[in-house]
Amino acid sequence: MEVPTPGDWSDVARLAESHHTVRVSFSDRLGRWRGKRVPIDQYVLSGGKAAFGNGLIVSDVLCDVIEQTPFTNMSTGYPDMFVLAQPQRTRVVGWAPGELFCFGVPTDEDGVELPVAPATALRRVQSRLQERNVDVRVDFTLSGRLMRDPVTLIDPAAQLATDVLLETAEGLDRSGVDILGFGADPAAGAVTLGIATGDPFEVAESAVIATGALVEVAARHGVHATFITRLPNRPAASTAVRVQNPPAAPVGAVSALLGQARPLVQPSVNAVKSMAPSALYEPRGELAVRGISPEADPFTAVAVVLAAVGQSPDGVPDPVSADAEDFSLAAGAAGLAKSSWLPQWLGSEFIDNSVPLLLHEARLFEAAVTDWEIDRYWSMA
Amino acid sequence: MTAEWSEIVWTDIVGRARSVRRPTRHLHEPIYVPRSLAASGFGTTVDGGEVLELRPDSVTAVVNPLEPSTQIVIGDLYEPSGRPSPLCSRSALRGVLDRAVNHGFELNAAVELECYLVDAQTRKPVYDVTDCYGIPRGDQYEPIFRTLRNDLVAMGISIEASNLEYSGGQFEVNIRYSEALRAADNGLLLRLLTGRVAQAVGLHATFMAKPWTEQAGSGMHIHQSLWRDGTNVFADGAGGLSALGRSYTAGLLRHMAEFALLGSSTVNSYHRRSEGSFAPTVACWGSDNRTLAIRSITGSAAATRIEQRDAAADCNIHLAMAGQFAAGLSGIDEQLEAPPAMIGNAYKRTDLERLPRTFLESYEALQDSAAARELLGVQTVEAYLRALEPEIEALLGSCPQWERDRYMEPTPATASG
Repeated sequence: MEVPTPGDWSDVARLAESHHTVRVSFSDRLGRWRGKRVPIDQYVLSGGKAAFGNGLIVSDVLCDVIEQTPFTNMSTGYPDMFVLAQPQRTRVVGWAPGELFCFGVPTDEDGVELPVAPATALRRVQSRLQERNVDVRVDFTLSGRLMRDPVTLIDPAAQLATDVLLETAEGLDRSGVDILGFGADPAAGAVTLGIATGDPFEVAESAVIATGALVEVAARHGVHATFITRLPNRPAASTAVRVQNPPAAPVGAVSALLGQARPLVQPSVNAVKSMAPSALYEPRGELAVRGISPEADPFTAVAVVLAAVGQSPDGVPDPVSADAEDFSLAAGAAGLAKSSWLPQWLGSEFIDNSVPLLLHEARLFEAAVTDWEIDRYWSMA
Repeated sequence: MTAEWSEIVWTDIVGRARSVRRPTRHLHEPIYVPRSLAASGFGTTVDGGEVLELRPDSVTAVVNPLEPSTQIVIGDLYEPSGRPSPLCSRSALRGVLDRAVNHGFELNAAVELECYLVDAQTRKPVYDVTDCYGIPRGDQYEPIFRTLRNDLVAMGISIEASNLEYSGGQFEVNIRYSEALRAADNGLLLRLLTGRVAQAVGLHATFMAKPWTEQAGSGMHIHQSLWRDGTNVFADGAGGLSALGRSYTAGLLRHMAEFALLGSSTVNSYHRRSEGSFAPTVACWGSDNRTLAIRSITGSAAATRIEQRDAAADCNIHLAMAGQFAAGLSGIDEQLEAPPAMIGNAYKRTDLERLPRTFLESYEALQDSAAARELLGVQTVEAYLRALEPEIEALLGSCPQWERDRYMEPTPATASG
């Protein structure tokens, strides 16, 4: 279908006849869609610029910002970061009539892209690949579950799930997101939504948009869309990234490198309860990576996959852990801190700010007394 | 077309919106309100049968989109003598702004207000997870906030944005800057309409400063800038704050502690002023840093401004603004020099003037303030203190659940385990 794409601010202003609100948006380090809702006249008046507290780009899953994050903490005072939307990237929210949205990359006050933003990390990886004359395209299959409440899973093949997915896909289509299709992963109890092949940055952004769309449409149907990796008695849900025209990348090396980046694509104590990410070549020569947690940020996931692909011809510079089964989030984060190749690809600031957050997540879990422990040990003599 | 009905909105001395409705054809006939109502504090009324005259300020008249047969008009209180009443905080603000005009300045301002949406029965927030700036979750509350934004825009109030705020169920709406009296009126109308839009869908909106111990407080940041002949005189032309802006800032800092009660008028609002809360605990200023009491936001000349961050969302907006503007202008009058801009975590600074941490401390500071009386008028300050005085006895005489939980001896059954 034809998607209206404004060329300049006057085109956006003309959309005010049929639209009232613009979501000025960014994607946080866990791929969550954040932003402000701006009346369309103010959007035009402000030139698409909006300010946000910069802690939200490095916060944990509950928006907590820890003092150990070098990028921002109480000593910096959490200054503003800015999102600068562009008229050409302003699109309709296909599932919310009257609304437009635009994603921007967070910047500092001088307009410099924040190195801790996953979108910046992906751009950096893409530019390193271009320096090596490697031009890749990817597709992305996101995976999530629809639930009535925290314990009642909705069968992904049920009509309700189909209704939610169809409405989501149609809405995304109206937004110009190229949906490859949707389906079910019955074993994991998950629904899947495929983003068609495209430029890695655009595909990652589309995955963030699709995730948000699924959440919103599900809520309107009275159900909750969750992207938690493991549920009791179910295999892990897994997101897949497929590289369409990879350079000659030894698959063993790609898998080993992905293993070293594991906490970035399995960023929670729940997410690491799944198989290590791994790569394989598919029949038509695509390089498919599985084992990426649905909790992972799509920009980070695509950046890590492309970095592993780009690095693999040069081998695996860091020692490979002997036992992937013995993996923990804390151990993975400690390994990430010592990585010699990931900072070069994704940026040292990105890695330096990710490590404390991953360790913090692991430590919170270590300090927590869980239901499992109560159930198991309560009656011990 | 003139609306059939008029709702004349005014505030009592502690900032609660009150209103009188009458057919528009009778709008310009005298309206009287009890002086006791205008002077009353929280849960208390002042004795006396005298009345004040409520005069609609016709330039504020605007049709209420929620109720198209009715226009909202903001009113001012006048004494029987015909002079503005000291109980009218809008008049107090106008007096301060007149002083700015006499200096050749126009004061522009904007308020950022935070609130919680709560279930009307349980008084619990409408959601309980932290999702600051969350877009998908915000979709569920768009029927409320879209209505609010669009209605305010229809009333001529420019809305810059709305978003989910830090804590679960907390929201923020940003109003674009305007002439300062209008900015205060806009804040008043925002609070009024938020409550009504929420009520229409069976929810309750609260601007209470700190409704829950573990959740973020709700503040009202006041952005302010001085203009002369269409030029922002806070901008130094090189992307920084001008000398005039620094003097204004010095005035704000000098009076911040003694004027704290003007922006934090309840016992509860001092729970918000704690370390790590992003409400200030010491008087200081600097550039973009959320631990400071005052942020100077510089860059483009038009957007250069001062943001004072200590007021609570449930304060008397007009009086809080009057206090801050009067303080800032006094800094210019006295050509004060601001201290060096602070860098780092202000919560760790013990060498700076501490802001009141309790209602009692704050009350005493305003009670002892000669500057407040001089800058805002003796009668206005005395009336405000009188309205809030019962809070002291009410506080000291209360025994909240917190104290029972903490100090009541365990019962024998509990003690024996």
